[in-house]
Amino acid sequence: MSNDMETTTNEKLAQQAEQAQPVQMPLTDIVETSDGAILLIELPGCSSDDLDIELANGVLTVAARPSVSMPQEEELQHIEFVSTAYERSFQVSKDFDPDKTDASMRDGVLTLRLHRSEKLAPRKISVKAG
Amino acid sequence: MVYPARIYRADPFEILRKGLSGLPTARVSSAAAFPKLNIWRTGQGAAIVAEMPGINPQKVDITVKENLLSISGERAQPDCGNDARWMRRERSYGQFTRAVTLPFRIDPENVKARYSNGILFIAAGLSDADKPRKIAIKAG
Repeated sequence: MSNDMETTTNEKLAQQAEQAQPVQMPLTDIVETSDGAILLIELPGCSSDDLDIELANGVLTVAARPSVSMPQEEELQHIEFVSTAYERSFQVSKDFDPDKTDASMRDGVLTLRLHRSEKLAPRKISVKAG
Repeated sequence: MVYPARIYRADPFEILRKGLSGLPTARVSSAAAFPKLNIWRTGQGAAIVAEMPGINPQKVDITVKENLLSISGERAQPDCGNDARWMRRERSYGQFTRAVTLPFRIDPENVKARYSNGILFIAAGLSDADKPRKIAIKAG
């Protein structure tokens, strides 16, 4: 009985520790192109399976949890980075078409391509002579 | 290099940190240091993990000389077309070099590197000359 309780407490503590892990804001480049925008988001240690991308109410949220395994049993001597979860949100204006968003992941960099909706794209108006 | 004997007493691994603080390129806490490194001491040498997303592993050179391991390469700027306008630029591009002085000589034949999902893993083994040796005691 006491053992059970201990396990539960330990599990709870482990869960709390996991939840308490800091969330990092990934470095991002944003490039505007003629037909939309490109976001380059750095998510080292993440593969495409570790990603969660959501676009709702004009807010694009990218969340990822690295699945990379670091040497565990060895003795850590020097540390400059931690592999914790990433999350960042971006405001997306209404002229982007949410159905036309492509995402690709390569070498730990997520490339998101947003396209402007054609209905709202600026149109050239030709002037008729006469 | 001569290390004062007292540093061994408190922390035998201080020597590794000492070695790191003398890096040719490093101000360790600086955000400009690229790539960021984590280093583990293992039984057979050291494991070095570098965070370097978006790099073509073919463009990375790892060189080893005595106890100095250096990583250099280039991160190319992505081609977004001629009409691209950069709205936000937080990532850095261009050439980089980073070197680590390890507290042992590295066996160049015993260095393995792997790049996966933007993280470079290097396992650097001790050279034979620096491996601990058992000394037999003669009776008499």
